[in-house]
Amino acid sequence: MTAAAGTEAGLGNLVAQGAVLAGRNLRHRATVEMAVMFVVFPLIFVFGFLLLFGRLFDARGLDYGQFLPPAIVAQWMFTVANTSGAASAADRASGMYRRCLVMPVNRGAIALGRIASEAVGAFVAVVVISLTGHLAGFRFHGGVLAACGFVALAVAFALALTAGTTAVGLSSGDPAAVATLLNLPYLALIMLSTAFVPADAFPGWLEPVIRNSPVSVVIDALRSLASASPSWVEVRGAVVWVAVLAVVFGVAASRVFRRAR
Amino acid sequence: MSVAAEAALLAGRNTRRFLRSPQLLGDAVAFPLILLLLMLVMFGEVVAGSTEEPYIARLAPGIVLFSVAYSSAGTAVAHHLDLRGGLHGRLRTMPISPVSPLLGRIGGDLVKFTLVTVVTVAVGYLLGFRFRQGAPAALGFLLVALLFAVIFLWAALLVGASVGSAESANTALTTPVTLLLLLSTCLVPLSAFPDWAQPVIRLNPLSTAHSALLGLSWGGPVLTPVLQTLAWAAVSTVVLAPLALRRSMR
Amino acid sequence: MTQWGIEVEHLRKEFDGKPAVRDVSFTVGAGTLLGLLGPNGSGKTTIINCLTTVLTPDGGRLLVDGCDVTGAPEQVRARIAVTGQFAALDEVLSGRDNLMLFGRLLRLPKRQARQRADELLDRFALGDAADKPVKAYSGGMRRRLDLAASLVVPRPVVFLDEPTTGLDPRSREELWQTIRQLRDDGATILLTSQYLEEVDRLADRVVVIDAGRVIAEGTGDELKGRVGGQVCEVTVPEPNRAAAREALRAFSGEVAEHGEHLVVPVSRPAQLVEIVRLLDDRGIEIDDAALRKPTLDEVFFALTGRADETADGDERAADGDAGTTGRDGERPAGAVPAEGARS
Ligand SMILES: Nc1ncnc2c1ncn2[C@@H]1O[C@H](COP(=O)(O)OP(=O)(O)OP(=O)(O)O)[C@@H](O)[C@H]1O
Ligand SMILES: [Mg+2]
Repeated sequence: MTAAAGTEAGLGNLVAQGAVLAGRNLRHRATVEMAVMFVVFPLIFVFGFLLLFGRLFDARGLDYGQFLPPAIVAQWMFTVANTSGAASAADRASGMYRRCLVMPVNRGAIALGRIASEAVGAFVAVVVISLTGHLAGFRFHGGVLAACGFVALAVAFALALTAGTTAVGLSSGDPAAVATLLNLPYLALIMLSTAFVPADAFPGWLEPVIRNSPVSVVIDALRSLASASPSWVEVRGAVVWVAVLAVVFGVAASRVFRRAR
Repeated sequence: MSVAAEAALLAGRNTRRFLRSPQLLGDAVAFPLILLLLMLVMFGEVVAGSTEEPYIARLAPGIVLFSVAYSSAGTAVAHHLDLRGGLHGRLRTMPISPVSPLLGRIGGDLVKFTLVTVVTVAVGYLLGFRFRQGAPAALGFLLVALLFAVIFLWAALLVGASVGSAESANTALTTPVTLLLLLSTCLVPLSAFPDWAQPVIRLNPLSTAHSALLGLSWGGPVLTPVLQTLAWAAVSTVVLAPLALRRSMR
Repeated sequence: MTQWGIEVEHLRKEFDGKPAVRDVSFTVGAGTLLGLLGPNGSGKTTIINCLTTVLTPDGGRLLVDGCDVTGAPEQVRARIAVTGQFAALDEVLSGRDNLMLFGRLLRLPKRQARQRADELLDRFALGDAADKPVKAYSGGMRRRLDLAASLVVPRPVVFLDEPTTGLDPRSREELWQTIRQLRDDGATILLTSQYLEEVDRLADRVVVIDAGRVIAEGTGDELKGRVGGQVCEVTVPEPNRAAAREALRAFSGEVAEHGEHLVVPVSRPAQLVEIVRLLDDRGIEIDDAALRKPTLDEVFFALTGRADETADGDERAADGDAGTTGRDGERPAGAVPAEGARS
């Protein structure tokens, strides 16, 4: 009756418990509101911005239907990460996180569960936006391999950001405050990038900042991967940025993870 | 006590709450300013070529309207929490007109919107925004902004009384309001939109109010857009206000 | 199988230099229930958090079911069930899904997890609410589900941090029944509480802590003997109170004053009559005199020689060791002394 079960050590536990937690995280997302958002959000942003700027940029010789969807992808990757940060904060607030800590749950499984569920969320989002974009004239001109690279880069970007938002979420524990706090850097980073407007349309003094922002680098690499001739140099730059972000945010997250209770 | 006095009292409570919370105040004031600056550097160069007025002349009134419409989400959340938190229940057990709490919420928010408008315009002034039509037009500018606010306030009260959680009160408004901003003349002139979309864009309440504000600051037609905005406010009041009242009284 | 289910030796824990637990030692015999009694802020939750691997102690040695808490935390986690002071549940999922989630995390196969969830829902009278999301649960339902969640897989050592706080009398009685059942099944249980009555009803032994220190240890009866099992509360209007106090002091050294009430420990019910007669003889007018069970405050008063401040652990935690020496000095003869180091 009171026999002790096995401990949390081992790869088997990591994978199995990680999968259980990932499933649980995904169930939190499987709400009507989320489904509505998955349909409405891409429609609003793809077609809204297209209507808004399509003509102005056509006049400048820019195919906005091809230009825009990668930006909406990046934008949604931020949303995935920010939602995840708020969810981590909610887990601390509800005591769920603490219960996992006193159970023989592999420490890595808690992180793996988050990574896996956000990867699934990000993947679905990229597919949905690519399809919506298709209606607006967006095409993968570079072949299947480049299209897979597009998806992989976007998901990796979302996961790197998620590491950062997890650090914020776990150290705060107040989901509403975390959502507000994360909103500001998100807005600033996405607007001060080449997401909606090419770098040369910004005031000259701001152009270098815009061009070198990691968000611009990633979005430009996504555009390159969707173009007829993907540029290895651009993709490499984005991969380096994502790796740097992942390491920096990952270290921060694991520090918080070790201390948060 | 008359309904007006009760409403004024409750409006005072809402205003004080707002003014005493640095976070609410910061959000309400900082949000429009950040948007103003960001959008100016983002879109200024792209749009500048296609219009005669400088971009700030279009953008500043646009941001005023967007901030007002966007903060209706905050109104919806606050109203929802009032209903949930039992403030309304308590007020209803007191000899107070059932309309007063709603009027109080609206009154308090109009004070907030006045503040947002003044601050946004002040910063716009530093960036080159000007009232070229004189002082009475500037006052009209404020009045039209507040008239516009009424359209969204009723919607906010209805949403706040209808939804299940504070969070859905928020998303139920921010998403449509963002869409309305994109599909209005707040950011780019009407001519930038595809021809087939223009009739719809023109009727968007953000567009009608924006044309009015543009006319009252930079210059241009005023009477027609003001009447259109008035029509929107009237429709909202006739259709949404009774619903909002009924839902809030449950 | 060791003799002790839980051993705590010289546990110390501080937060930002402020000691929360200072040199606490006690043991819980395997298969017995120990009540950890203490006022707000005395360090109960901190002790539990250290024992359950949530916090790392600043000093001392902790063994749970023979496993070293700092040396082999994963061994400890595989042996414990924990119900914290605040419910730790997934608010979005239903009660059943919560239990299944924890079962799956403990590597039960899906069918078994489901079966176990149904059993527990039944046992904790949550069957009707099984499919409602936890955020729609009442406080009592939440508490019961929280306890059920920690019992998905039976464990040899169980920690319960103020399990009955916020429950109505009936739910409390039911929960006590469940806890007794757990003990009868052979689990070692550490239960914290602010209510003397609760630990008295459940515990084999009681450890009383205050400001992060053990101030007494013994069985419930031994502790209650310290305050005479019952107290007599005499309601005296001014201006007679000082005189009444003086008179009662002849009766017992430990007269406590709460507003217009004077409280004296008694050992026999007949002493009520003696008290009334004594006051009457001296011509002191009183409003009321009655016997009642001692409150935790009064136990603390008897144990520490101080009244009323007991609810304010934080301040005393900061006042250093000087106060403690005085406190030990004041301890009346016959006190059940705290056992220090035990090896
Ligand atoms: N995470 C923390 N950071 C700083 N101080 C803490 C922390 N947790 C507890 N404390 C302090 O440690 C002391 C003991 O707290 P603890 O929660 O262990 O008391 P408790 O006996 O469980 O009280 P209660 O009956 O209120 O639950 C208190 O002074 C408290 O303020
Ligand atoms: Mg506690």
